[in-house]
Amino acid sequence: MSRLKAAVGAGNGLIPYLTASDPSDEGFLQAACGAVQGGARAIEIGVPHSDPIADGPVIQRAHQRALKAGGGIQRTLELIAGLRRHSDIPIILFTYINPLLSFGFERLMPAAKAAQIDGILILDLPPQEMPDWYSFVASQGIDPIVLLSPNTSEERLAYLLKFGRGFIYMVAREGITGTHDGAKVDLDARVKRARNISGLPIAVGFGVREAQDVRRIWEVAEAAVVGSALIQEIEKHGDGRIFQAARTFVETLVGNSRPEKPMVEIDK
Amino acid sequence: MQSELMKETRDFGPFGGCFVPEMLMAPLLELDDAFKRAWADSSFRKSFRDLLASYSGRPTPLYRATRLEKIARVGTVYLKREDLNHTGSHKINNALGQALLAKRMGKKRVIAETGAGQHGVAAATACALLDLPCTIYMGSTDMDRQAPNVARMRLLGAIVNPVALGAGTLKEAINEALRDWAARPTGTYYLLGSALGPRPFPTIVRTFQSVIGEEARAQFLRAEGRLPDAAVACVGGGSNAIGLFSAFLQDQNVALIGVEAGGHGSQPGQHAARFSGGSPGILHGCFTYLLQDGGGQILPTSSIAAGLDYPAIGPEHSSLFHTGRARYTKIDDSAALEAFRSLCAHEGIIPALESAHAVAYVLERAMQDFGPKAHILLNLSGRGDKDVETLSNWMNTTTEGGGDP
Repeated sequence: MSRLKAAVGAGNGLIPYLTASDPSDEGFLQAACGAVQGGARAIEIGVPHSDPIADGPVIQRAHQRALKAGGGIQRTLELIAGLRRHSDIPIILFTYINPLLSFGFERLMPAAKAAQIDGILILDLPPQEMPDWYSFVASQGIDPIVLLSPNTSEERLAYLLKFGRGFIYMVAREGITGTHDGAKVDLDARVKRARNISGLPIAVGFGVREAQDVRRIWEVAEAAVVGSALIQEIEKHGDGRIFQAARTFVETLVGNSRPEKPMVEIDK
Repeated sequence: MQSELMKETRDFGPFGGCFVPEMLMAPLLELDDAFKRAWADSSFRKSFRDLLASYSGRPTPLYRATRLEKIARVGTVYLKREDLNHTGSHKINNALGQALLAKRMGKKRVIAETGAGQHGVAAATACALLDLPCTIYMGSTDMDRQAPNVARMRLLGAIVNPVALGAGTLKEAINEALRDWAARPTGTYYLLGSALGPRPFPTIVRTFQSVIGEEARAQFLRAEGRLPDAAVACVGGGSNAIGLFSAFLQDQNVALIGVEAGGHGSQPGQHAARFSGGSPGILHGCFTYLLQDGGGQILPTSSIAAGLDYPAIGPEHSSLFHTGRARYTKIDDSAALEAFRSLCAHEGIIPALESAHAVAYVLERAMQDFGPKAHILLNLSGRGDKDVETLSNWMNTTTEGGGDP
């Protein structure tokens, strides 16, 4: 069993999302360490992109700040390697395809392995466009993550789940990240359908803002993903206070469900 | 990995595909299926053709521009007058086709993006005609430089949403339209305006625009008893060009010339010439040539013509470039403006700045490329009322004393 599957599979987990280099390289590292210290189970690290079409205004701003700070795929890999000096938390690389295309897979895999990246989710690479990619990534010991949307058909669900490893990323509502106005869809039933087909743990994201949202997700799934709300919290604080802001926010969401043993040792 | 993608077969050689987030897969699959069924249905095709004839005024004329051909020093220059369509450009062909499809699919709301505003006006028009509420996303920079079209869209009942992110041009407008669609996919129809984006859009748009080439080919044969030596069109996303080219793909003796925006320089950010400054990559759901930096970030673009100011090109054009069947060249801002003025002064036709790029190619290079006896077919994709202010400003700054051209 992969590290990622085991970590998410333990249940009652929170997976924060952060864009690498947002608001700066140092600010990102502080946010990531704060999130880890606050009780994150795993962490999703976004590769900055000029055109993040699946993201709402908050994460779009994060991408723009990150690009301005010199962010990109190369810097993201360096930052993850830097984060590894502080933490062995499972890390998911969360990315649009074009920066990876440009970087090249031949280069990506060794770098990803060196930084001990556990999983990769390419938002705009549906398996039918490049089925071999999923098996290739898995053969390298990294989990390719698949994402299920509320409007994914039953037939397609079964198809997608053949490609996924690590955990299933389930989007709670229609729309882009940080939205609340998308159609509400019966999460319970969708989780059950996925469980009938796959033994992977399930993480649910999109629209998670407060502890109550996290609790509701934990009733049906192993983990909640929080992105926009965390980034908004960080936006309110200057460079010096990002670590604390991220840590406090994650602690609030996780509540007293933190594991007994801290998963990281850092000196912040 | 780019080379991996080049090995596979997609919609247009290795190009095209459907590289979108999962939230958009269901509506795209639904659209693909609905379009195939509709196009196989003769009653759908008939209602489309009837609207083109009775509402848009097709067939548009093929006009021999005798004064223009003297300046260009070639045999003949024929203009395919897409500017004479209702709403003033070829965009209405696709807008009517897709609005009919939206209606047939039972969609209750239409969204669209626009660059120059020509597609926005066409979409707003088709939606008014078919009683569909319409929301248009338009970059704020484009709204400023194409203000008359913004007013037209609003008069036609559309909501125009400004997109202030990034450069505020077509790319950002498409980003926002895709986000809107992802948020409300079930009842919404996304009426994409060019032959770009994820499958099935490039094929849908090409199909509805192919009427341009079908008419022009038959008209040219009637007028000259032969086919042209070259068919020329400007290329932003590439819908007017693919509409023209599609009828000539098997005619190996007809050269196909696509004219991209050379902007005001050849440095990154100064132009929108994807084939001279770009490389294959993925933007807006398809694998195609695009302008990107070394880290796979999309570069800013620049063109005096809002409709050409876009960093990617429709995937079928990438395939035609790749196989060599079509040739692509670029025309810079000042040459396009000169050609704009020339067509006004010598033919009494005010072209869209986009189309003026194709005119400039014919004036400047057709003779050297095809010789003094060449027969040229030029797609005049739209009219330029929207651009008169831009041209007046340019004339004031470049023409001392404002003398007659």
